[in-house]
Amino acid sequence: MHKLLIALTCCFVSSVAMAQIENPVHWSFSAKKVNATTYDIVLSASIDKPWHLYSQFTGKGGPIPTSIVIKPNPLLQVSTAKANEVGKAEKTLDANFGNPPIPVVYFSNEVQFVKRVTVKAAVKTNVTGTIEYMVCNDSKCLPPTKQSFDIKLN
Amino acid sequence: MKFGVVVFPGSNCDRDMYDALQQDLGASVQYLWHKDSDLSNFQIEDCIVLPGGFSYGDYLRCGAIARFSPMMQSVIQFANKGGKVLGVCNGFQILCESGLLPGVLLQNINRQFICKNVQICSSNGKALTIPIAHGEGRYHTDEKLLNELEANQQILFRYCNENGEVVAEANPNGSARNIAGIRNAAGNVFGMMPHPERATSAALANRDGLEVFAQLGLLTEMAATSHTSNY
Repeated sequence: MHKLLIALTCCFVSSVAMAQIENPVHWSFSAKKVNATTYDIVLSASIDKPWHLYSQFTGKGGPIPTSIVIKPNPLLQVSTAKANEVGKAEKTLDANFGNPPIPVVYFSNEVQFVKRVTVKAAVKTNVTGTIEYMVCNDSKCLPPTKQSFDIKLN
Repeated sequence: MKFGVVVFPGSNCDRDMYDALQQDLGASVQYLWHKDSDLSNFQIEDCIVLPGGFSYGDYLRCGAIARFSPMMQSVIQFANKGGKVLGVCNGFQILCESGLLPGVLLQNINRQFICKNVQICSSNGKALTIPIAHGEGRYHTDEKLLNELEANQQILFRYCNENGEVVAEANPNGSARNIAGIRNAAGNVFGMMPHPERATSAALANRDGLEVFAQLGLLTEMAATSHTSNY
């Protein structure tokens, strides 16, 4: 009976360990002051090997492109243009997503998404929102993930 | 500095204001009945206060009837000569309706009456805890005028969080750019939705209202001494 209980416990523990969510992208957020009223908010991703994170401009029909949603703030003016991507973008035709292969754009190791915001008044405020992204390696993809951010502007 | 508190039919913060000014600020105060129009007792350096409440029931639109009262005609003349005027809550609405302050106050974004303590910040970024109690406190005007208010530094107070950060979550009523209080271009007419007169006494466990009166330049000498020594 004891052996059976131990075996069941081991099975349970190993299944819980196997079920842990993989998180190969590590985010950090900051704001860079451009002038008295303008800031660049920087969403930096550090990507574990061998994963890669897809660009905002990756082709249709493939993985979910990265997208940034900034929560409305009456004191902020946010450009509707997509964020600048700072990193080594790699382009390829990926047969995993369709036939004919889908053109995809992705980043490995690291990438920064930089978005410009203007503060309408000389006050302390913040930029909050979410970035949704998807990562794959050579054999599998993870479901799209949303990461919240809250960046102080002083 | 002497204060006059206008009493409209439906004012319900007139006594709070009177008591705060007299007992906590140590000022000379008198009531001004809305049907009267005599302000001959008041000089330019004095201040007329329009208190909160529901003037004339606010049946048409908040402050829309009060602006036509005989006393308000005198208050408008007084303000145009440079006399100080402070409007709190319904008083702010009356000032906007009478054209002494720009903009309008719309129904709260959640369409509910809100009564609670909030934080407001002036340009120094310090958060002050002041009560609000209103159903129509959402300050609104167009972007051009908002930019003018910013440029002329006419925005006195904004809703902020406890850290002094002006964020959307700290905005209780949906006011444009978190605006809680403004002044006119000349700098002698002030309007705000929060109630500083409800936060001027240690008995209320809140004296942040004294800081508001100080920032508006309405603190009497006696109160200023007490404010700096005890605050």
